[in-house]
Amino acid sequence: MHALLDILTSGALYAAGIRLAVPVFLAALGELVAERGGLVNVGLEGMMLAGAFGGVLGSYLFDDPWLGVITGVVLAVVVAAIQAGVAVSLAGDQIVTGIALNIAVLGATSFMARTVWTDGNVPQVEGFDPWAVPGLSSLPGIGDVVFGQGALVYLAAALGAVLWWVLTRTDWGLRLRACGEDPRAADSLGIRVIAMRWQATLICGALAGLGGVFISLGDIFTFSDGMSGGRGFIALAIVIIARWSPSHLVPAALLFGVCEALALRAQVTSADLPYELLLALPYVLTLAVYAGLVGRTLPPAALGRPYVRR
Amino acid sequence: MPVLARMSGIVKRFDDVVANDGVTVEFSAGEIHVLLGENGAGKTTLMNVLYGLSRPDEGNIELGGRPAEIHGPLHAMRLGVGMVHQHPLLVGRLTVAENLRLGGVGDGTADGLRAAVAEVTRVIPLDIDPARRVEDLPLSQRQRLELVRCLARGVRLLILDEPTAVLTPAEVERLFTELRSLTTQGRGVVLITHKLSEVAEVAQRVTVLRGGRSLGTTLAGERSLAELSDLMVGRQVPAVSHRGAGAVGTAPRLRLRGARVGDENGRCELDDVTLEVHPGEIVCVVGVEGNGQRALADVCFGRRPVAAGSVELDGAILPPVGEWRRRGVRLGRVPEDRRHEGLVLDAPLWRNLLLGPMAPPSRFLLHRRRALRRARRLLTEYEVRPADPHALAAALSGGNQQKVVLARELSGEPGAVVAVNPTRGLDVGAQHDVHLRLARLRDDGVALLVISTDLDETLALADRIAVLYRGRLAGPYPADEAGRDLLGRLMAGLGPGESEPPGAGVSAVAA
Repeated sequence: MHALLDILTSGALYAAGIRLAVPVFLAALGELVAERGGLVNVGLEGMMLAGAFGGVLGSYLFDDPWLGVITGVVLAVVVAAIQAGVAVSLAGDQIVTGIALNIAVLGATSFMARTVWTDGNVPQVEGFDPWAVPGLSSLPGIGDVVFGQGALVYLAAALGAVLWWVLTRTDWGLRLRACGEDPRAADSLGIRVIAMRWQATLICGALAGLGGVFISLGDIFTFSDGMSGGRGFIALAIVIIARWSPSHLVPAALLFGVCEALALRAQVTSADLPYELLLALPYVLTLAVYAGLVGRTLPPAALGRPYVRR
Repeated sequence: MPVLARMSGIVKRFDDVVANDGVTVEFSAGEIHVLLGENGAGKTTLMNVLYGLSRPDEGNIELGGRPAEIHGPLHAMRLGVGMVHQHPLLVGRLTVAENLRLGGVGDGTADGLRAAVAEVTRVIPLDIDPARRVEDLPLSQRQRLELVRCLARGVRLLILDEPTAVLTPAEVERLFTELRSLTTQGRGVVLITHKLSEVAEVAQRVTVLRGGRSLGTTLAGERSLAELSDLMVGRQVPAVSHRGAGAVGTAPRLRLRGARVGDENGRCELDDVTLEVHPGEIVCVVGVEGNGQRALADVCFGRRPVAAGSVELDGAILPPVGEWRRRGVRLGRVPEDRRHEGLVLDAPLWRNLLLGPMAPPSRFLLHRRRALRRARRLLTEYEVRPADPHALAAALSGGNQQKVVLARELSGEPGAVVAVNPTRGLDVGAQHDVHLRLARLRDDGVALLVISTDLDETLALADRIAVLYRGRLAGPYPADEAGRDLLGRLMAGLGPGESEPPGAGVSAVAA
C-alpha cells in the first residue's frame, strides 16, 4: 500500500500521464470533428500509425523534427483522403472502410520501414525534448508537471482550444454540426454536405497524424511496427466518454493517460496493483456511458450514415 | 402587378415516372396563388424545382423577367424565392437561433440575428424562445420558424406546401390573415393544397395540376368549387358519408379506463383517457398532431404499457403485443407510418402478409407454396396493384401499400381494429377505397377506433367523435351533434362554449 501511495503522490506520474494523454487527445479531437460532421472514422488507428511512421521518416530524412511533424501529418491526411473518398464521396460503409484502412496502414508502414532502413533497424532520430515554459515551470507543485513538457503538448492544448471555439462559435462549426445531425436539411439550406464531411475527415486525419507523430517523436524517437498500439481505438472510446463535447475531451483523455502511467509504474515497482484492470478502464467507461450510467447525450443523429442526394 | 416567377415547359422525371410533364405557370406579386391537386399530382415537385431543390429535366424558369438557373435553395432565397415545407427542413437538435443562422439570417452575431428576426416578426410573430431546441417544438411552430426564416431572408415569392395540415382551424385563420398582409406588401404567395375550402378562402388565382400536367390557371371566382374538384380528381367522386346503423350489443369490445401515459421527462402524454368502442361502430379520435395520438396508438397496439388505468379488449387486459399470438388476441393494427411500422419495405408482399400476431399458424418451416397462394388471394381481394406476391413492398404506391397493410390486418378477422391516419398521403380515390373498407368492417360488427388528424375524414367516417388535446380526451360526442365548429374549438383546447380569439391556438400550443 505504501508503494502505491508513493506512486500516486509523485509528480512524475502526472507528468507521464499528460504525455500519454496527448496523442489520444489529439486523435480524439480529430474524431470529434469528424463525428460531429456525421462520419465515424474507425481508420483513426491507421492514421495515427501513418503519422508515427511519417514523423520518424521526415525527421530522419530532413534531420528536423518539425519537418517530421509535417511528413507525419501529410501521410495521415493521405490515409484520411482515402477514407473520405470511399466513405463520403462514394457513400461506402464507414466502419468497413476504416477497418480496412487500419489493416492496410499496418502492413504498409512495416513494409516501408523495411524498405527505407535495411532489415528494419529503425535508427534513433531527432525528437522533441521537454521544453520548460520560462517562469511557469518553476511554479511549485504543478510547474514541472504541466509546464515541463515537449513542444507538441502545448500545441495540442492550443489546438483543443481553437477547435472548441470553431465548433461552438463559428458558422463553419454550425454548418458542420448540421451535416452531422440532418444532412438532408443542411443540403436544402445550401450547405455542401459532401464538402463539409471531406473537410472534417481531413482535419481528423491531420490531428490523428499529429497524435501519431507525438507517439514516435515525443517520447522514444524511433518507429516500431504497429506502435500506435490501439490508441486510435482508445480515442474512439474517449469521444464517447466525452459525449461529443470538446471540453469534456480533456478530462477524459487525462484520465486515460494517468491510468496508463499508473499501470506502467505498477509493473516496474513492487506495488501490488492489477494494472490490466487500469488499462481496461477506458473501455469499461465507454460501456458505462453507452449503457446510460454516466448521463445521456445522444450522438449526432446522422452519425455513420453516408449522405446520398436524392 | 409584376410577374415574380415564370416557369415554362417544366419536365421533371424520377427514373421512369414523369412527375411534371411540361408545366407552364406564372406567379405574380401581390396575390395568393393556389396550386391545387391531389397527392402525387406533381405540385411539390414543381415547387421544389422553383426552390432549387431539384433540377428540371426540361423547361425554363424566369425570375423577375430574367432567365434564371437556380442552383440550390440558398441561391433561390438570394433570388427571392423561399419555401416552407410540409415537413419543415430544420435541424432538430439545433436551437431555433442556430437554425435561423443556418438559413442565412443575420450576420453571425447574436445581435445581428435578433435584429433580423425582430424586423420580420412585426408581421409574423414568432413567440418562441430562440434557445430552444427545434425538436422540442410542435410542428406548427416549426412551420412558423421556417416561414420566419424565409421572410428574414427578404423573400419576395413565398411557397407554402400544405401548411394547414398541422394547424388548428384558428391557426389556419391566423396564417391566412398573415399571408394576405404579406401580399399587400407586394410579395407573392404560392399555396400548395388539395383542400378546396382553402381555395374558396384565400385564393386569388388557382392552377390545377393533375398527373403532372397543368390544367390551366384561372382567377379564383371563375370556376366553382365543384368544377375545380372535378378537374382535380378527373372523375366524379361521390361525396359519401359512411355512417352506420349504430353500435350493436352493449358490451364494449375495446375499452380504455383512465389510461395514463407519461414520457421520459415526466410530462403526461395521455392523461386519464376513458373511451369505449362497441362492436359495429367507428369511434374517431381527432386532434392536431402532437397532442397524444402517438401514445394512444402505442397503448392500443400493445407497444407501450399504461402508467395508470387500463386498456381492455373484450373485458380482459390487453397484453403487450409480444404475447398476442400466444393468447390469441385478435386486434387489427393499422399504424400511422406504413412505410416503417406497417411493412418491411424490402421484403416481397407475400412475406409482408405473413407478419404480425394474427398471421396464420405456422410450423417450424415456412410453407412457401401455401403462403404464396394465400398472398395471391388476399392481394386480389383487396385490389392491390400489382397483385404480384413477389413484388417488393417498396415498389408499391402509398395507396397500394396501405391496402397490403389492411389486407394483412383485416384478414385475421379481428374483433377490433385501431387505425392511425389511415388515409394520410393517399389520393382521393385511394382514400375512398380505404374508407369504404373500414365502413364495411363496421357493418360486419367490428369495433373500430380511428385516430386521425384530419377533421374531414373524421366527419365522413365516425359514428362517435372524441377530441384529443394535450393528452386529454373530450367526448366522445355522437357524430350528428359534433359540428365542425365544436370540434375545431376542442382541437384548439377551448371549452365547447368559448369563442376563440384570433391567434389563441398558437399561443395555447406554445404555452
